Amino acid sequence: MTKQDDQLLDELKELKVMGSIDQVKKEEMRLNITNYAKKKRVQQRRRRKMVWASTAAAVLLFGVIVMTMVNQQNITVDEPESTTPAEDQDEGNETQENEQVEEPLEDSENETETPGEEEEDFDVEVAGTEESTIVIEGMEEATTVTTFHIKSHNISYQVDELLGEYEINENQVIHSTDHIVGDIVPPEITVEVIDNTDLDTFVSELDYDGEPTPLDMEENSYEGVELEQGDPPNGYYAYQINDDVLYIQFKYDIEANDGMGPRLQALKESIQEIE
Amino acid sequence: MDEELITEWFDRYADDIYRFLAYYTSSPDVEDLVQEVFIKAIDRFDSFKGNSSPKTWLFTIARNLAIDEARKRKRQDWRKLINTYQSENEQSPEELYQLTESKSQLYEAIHKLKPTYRDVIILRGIEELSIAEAADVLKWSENKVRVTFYRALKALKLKVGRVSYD
Repeated sequence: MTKQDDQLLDELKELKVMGSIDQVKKEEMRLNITNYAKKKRVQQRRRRKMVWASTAAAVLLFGVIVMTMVNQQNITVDEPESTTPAEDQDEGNETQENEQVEEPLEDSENETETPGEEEEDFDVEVAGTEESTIVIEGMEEATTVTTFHIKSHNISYQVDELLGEYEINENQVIHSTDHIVGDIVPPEITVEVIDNTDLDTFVSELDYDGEPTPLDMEENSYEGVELEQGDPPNGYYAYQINDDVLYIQFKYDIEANDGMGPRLQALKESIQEIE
Repeated sequence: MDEELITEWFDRYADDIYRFLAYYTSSPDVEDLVQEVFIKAIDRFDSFKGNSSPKTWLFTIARNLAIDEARKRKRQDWRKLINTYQSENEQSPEELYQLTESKSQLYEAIHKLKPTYRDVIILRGIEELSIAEAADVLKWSENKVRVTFYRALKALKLKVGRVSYD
């Protein structure tokens, strides 16, 4: 470096000492920056909480989905056609065990809801099969019926083997058959429970022509009404069971299913509450 | 980033950042930019690994902001800058005039330099950053800082055009 370079550098350094921020302005800037840092810290804390809550919600949702899948798998495993009577016995035991395990869970869920207003998740399982007889045109016929438990509402009913297929669609059990001949209307029964509903109110809102008639209390365990109409025959049975309505819709081809009447009668007589 | 740390940094480096921005943008009205530098430091604090000093990190933020600002303004208001600084000193009108003329010439010469020379003159010559600190801010090697600073000084002497420097 030459002397001229040093002189130039000194002049440059002089420029440094000449400038600084006004003190009042500086104080204002310091306050703004401090406030911003504080605000940022609160935002970051809130964001971390949100991430934590989202993760917890995702884990909870995953748990619910897994539980639902496990429950559905239980019903599939309990399919009556693929089991032996000995296995049925085992399954019956397992079912009891499952009920015992699930009971506390249901109780804890109910604790957060207002009594009388809770809506149950629709939960159905096959409880077993048994031999039975029905009278068709004066002749006794042997048949097999399957017992279904609507666990969520403590209601059981039996369905004839003619309607051997079933599927659960949200809050309905749809019983049907895959033995369809020609272009007949296949028989189908849909069973569902409507929570916290008055029978008269419920029936008045149904989209059926005609007036429902009260069911005979000697042949039915619960107060209810029925309506049958049309060709092919279709209609419903509706029962008041405690605070809920058990609603059973049916349709069938009278030509191909002349034994449907006795089978529906057997279904109605089988309805009962599970202890 | 907690409030205590940013306040400490502000108290220590705010004037340095202010001068740097004032020279870089050729304007004394850079208080908002200074504040912006510290706001950005709060926002980007997670990316500060502590490999460089807070001072050079803040200068890097300031330089990037100044480049953006220069693009927006595109004006050379160095005379206003000099007048602002000179008014802070108590000097006779003659001295003030001489000084103003001398500094004006220097400022004008600095701002006529090409950007790399101007960068290194402000950081090394005016702000007196070490070679390592200047290299950190400019993302250059230390050798490049040395060589460029030497060439920048030479170019500045030519621009100033004083006999004594030649």
